[in-house]
Parts: sequence; structure tokens; C-alpha cells
Amino acid sequence: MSSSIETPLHYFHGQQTGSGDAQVTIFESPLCGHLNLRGNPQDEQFLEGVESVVGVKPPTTAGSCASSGDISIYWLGPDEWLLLLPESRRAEVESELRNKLSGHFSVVDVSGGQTLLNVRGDGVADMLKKSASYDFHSNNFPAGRCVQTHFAKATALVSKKDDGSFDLVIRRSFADYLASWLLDAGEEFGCRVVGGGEV
Amino acid sequence: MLHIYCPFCREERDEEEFSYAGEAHIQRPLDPESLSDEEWGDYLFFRTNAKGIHHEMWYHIAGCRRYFNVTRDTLSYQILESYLISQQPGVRAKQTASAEQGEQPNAN
Ligand SMILES: [Zn+2]
Repeated sequence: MSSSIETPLHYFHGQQTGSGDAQVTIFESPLCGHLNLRGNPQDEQFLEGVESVVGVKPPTTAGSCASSGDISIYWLGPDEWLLLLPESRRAEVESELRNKLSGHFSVVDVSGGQTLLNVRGDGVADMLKKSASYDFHSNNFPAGRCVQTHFAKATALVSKKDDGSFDLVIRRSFADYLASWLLDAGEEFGCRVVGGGEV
Repeated sequence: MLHIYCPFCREERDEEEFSYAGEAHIQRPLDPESLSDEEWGDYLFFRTNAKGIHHEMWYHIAGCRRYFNVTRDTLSYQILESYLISQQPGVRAKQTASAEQGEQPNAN
């Protein structure tokens, strides 16, 4: 007997709204590791300890993110970050952080509580405008920025990718609601949810 | 809708991202056991309810989830500054007496 773990939006994959070709695509990432990291940004040992595991120091500029290889790290607050990494490295990176860091810090695996979406396409900026009051125009929100904000009355961590698409980290418990919202907001452009989250 | 500057996120965000957290600069008594009921009641329940300049805490609940202080004019709703909990306000009411009489002019 085999079992599979489904991503939060598993049953949305393949759903589409609007007519014609979908101009907006909502891609749900396969299950990945989400680690919440806290520590003192003034502590050089903490920053270097993280760098030795992740390959990059936690960004200390508000609302910015950095990445190294297949790991991304997002600023959540002055002493709080989110690490996104492939599921296959989740346990290893978590224990490596615990080994390398000392003093007052915390590493919490929050993978089960969140899911990662990538939204892309011609209408994507307009779709986001309907969903949040934050200004996602590229003048205000260039690649490399991230922001936690109200999103369709829920919350999301939104970041802008180098290729012009947006990543959304949303809560698992709001995933159905937000997928329904995004399909509705994207209907005028044609909008489709795709994914490949089966393990 | 107020636009509130978060000193941690370092930008203005919409009020809906924040929740109000009451008057600022109220210190918990170091030795509550030594207080009279009246003093403890004052600490717990009584606030200045200022007309004009007011220092208050806000919580960036949908953003960085940090508390900070704001100086706001309760007559005009104008927000005059945001600052850290550990700091003292840069803008203060001019005279407590006139503020109580409601004659406090706008800080500008
Ligand atoms: Zn903030």
C-alpha cells in the first residue's frame, strides 16, 4: 500500500476561470521546507552561523530577501526570517542550524502550516491590486523585495522574483479561500491553478 | 484610513495592517504588592484620554508583528511620529493644563 502527501491546494490543480487561454497562472510549489528563524541581527556570530549553513547571511534590510542555491531567506521582522528550501533538505538544514548557532535563537519548522504559490502572467499585477492595498508596482516593489501584508482579508508574504513573477507564502488554513479568491480575481484574464505537489 | 509608518518595516502601511494597543509609556509597577487598591486600579484602568497630542502603542499585526509607539493628535487624527517603545516621544503636548481644558492648539 502506498500513501501520498497532498499539498494544501491539491484539489484545485487544473481548475480554471475565464475563457480562452489562461494569462495568469497560479503554480503551487511542491511541498517544501519552511523554517522560521529568530536571532539577534546585531550578533555577528549568529549571522555568520546562518551563513555557514545556508550560504547567505539573513538580510537585515527591512522587506528584503536573499537566496543562495536552492534556499531563500525572507525578512519577516527585525529579528525574524523565513527560510524556504527543498523538502529533501529540510531536516538536514534545521539540525545544522541548531548545531551551528548558539545563545539566544530559535529555529521552528513551520512547513506544515504554509504553502508556496508562484503567480505569473500578464494580468498578475492587476490581480494583486484587487487583493491588497500594498503598492506592488515595480517602482515600489522591485525584484528582491518581500512584504507581509493583508491579502484578501487574510495575510500573505509576497515577494517579487527576478523573472517578474510573484511568490506568495500563505497559510494552509487559508489556502482554499485564497485560491478561490485568486481564481475569481483572475477570471477576467483567464486564470488557472497548476501544481505538482505530490510526493 | 490612516497611513501609519512602521519603524521596523520602514514604510507607511495602511491602518488595516495594524491594531491599536492602548496608551504608551505606562509602566507596570515594580512591586504590585505594595500598592493600594486605588493605585493598582489607576495603573490597570485609568488612562489620560487626551484631547490633542496622545502617545499610543500600535501593533503591526499583519506585517512584522512588532509593537511601536505613535504620537497622534486625537482631534485631527494626524499622526505626528512613530518611534520605538524604548524611545521617548519627540512631539509632546505643550501644556497639560490647557490640554485638559481643550484649548490645546494643533501641534503644527
Ligand atoms: Zn512593521
